[in-house]
Amino acid sequence: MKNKDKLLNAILPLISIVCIIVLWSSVAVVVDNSYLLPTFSQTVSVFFSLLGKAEFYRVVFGTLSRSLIAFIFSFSLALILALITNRRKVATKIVAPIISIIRVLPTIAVVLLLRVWTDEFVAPILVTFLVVFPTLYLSVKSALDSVDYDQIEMCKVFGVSSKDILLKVKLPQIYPPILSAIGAGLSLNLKLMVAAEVLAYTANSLGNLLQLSKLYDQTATMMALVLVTVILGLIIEGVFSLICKKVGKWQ
Amino acid sequence: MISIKNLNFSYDDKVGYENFNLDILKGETTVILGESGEGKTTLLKILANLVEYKGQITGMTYPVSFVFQNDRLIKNLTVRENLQLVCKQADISLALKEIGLGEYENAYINTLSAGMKRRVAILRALLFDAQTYLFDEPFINLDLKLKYNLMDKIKDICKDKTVILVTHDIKEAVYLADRIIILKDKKITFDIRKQNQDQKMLENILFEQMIK
Repeated sequence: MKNKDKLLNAILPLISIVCIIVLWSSVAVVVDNSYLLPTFSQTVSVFFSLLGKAEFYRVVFGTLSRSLIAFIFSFSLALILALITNRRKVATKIVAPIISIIRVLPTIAVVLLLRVWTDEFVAPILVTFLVVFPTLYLSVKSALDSVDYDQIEMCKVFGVSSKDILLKVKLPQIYPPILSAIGAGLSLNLKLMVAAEVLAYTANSLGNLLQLSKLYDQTATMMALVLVTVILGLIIEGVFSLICKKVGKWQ
Repeated sequence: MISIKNLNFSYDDKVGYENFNLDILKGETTVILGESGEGKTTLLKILANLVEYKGQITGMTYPVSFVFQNDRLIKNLTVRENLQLVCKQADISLALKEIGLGEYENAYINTLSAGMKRRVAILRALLFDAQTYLFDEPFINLDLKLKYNLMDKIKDICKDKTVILVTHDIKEAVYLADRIIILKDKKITFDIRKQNQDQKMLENILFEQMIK
């Protein structure tokens, strides 16, 4: 039974992807217009030709580095704020309305506003930070709040050292949900960065390449770039999923 | 002697203990009997210095060893690692074999049954070197054979130590105690020292006092 389950777990996702490709190809045949909907093979062909260009890697590097900068800011602030609000309930009440407001900010409008106030490189970083930060903050805070304080109390009774309490009790409870939040946050970060780059006309970016493809009616290139973003997002989520499994093996 | 004088403790604006006094002889086992909600756990937490209170407690030596009502085992550690966290010098392998958990030494806590976790929690307390042992309903989730096995172990390891054990089970109280106190509404309503009384007779006396 176990081997059958393993086989199914491997095959079912592949079947799902094959179904998407078959559906895509079928609709493309019916539409019969490569401007509206290029075929799967046309898209894959453009995808592989992109991989052969040095400029493509420069563009991907640009987007990924801006994503990383935005993420580092988001996560650092989320962690600091979550640590403060975890210790001081008053701070939670002060921070909560600010987080709520940031969460409902209309992303596109913010990009355009930031484009007025900053430049095409800073605007996408800031808007990505504004969207990802509240999600990260709430996830990190939830992880910190869920630490089992009965166990901390037990450790104090038995005179367990502060170092052991931190390394063996608190951190192992916090790591898995935070790592999971980081993985999801990085993936969201990338998607938002690409979208913000489109609106901000950021040079040397996936977003700008998408914008140019639209300008020159290269739908196959646009779809190939979307495929690139999806693959990058899946790789990030996949890596963090493996890390989470390793770190949380006791769960 | 552990001496509790004029203990006052309240929580959530409800009065808990009010001018409560109790003297406990060191080196003997004192069992505090009472129904749920009588403040037995609170008293142990006060003795363990886990909650703030008003009054005076003298004669306590720290650290104490404590078996909590919920096991408070660390889920991300194995059985061995849980015990090592608290008892670095002990022969953990031997101790686990003695309570029938030898093969679970490297198992994670969340793979154990409730009864197994209970045994590990009791073993953790017994392996910890302290002068005072606090047990809060220690034998929950244990079958009769295991319960008496562990009660004998407690009697053996804590022979000259101060043990304060809280339970609502009269048979446990009679089996273990040198002295039995009944707590009702945070007040001592009955206090008896076990001497040579017939066990059954003592159980009956305690039962009558509990249901009064």
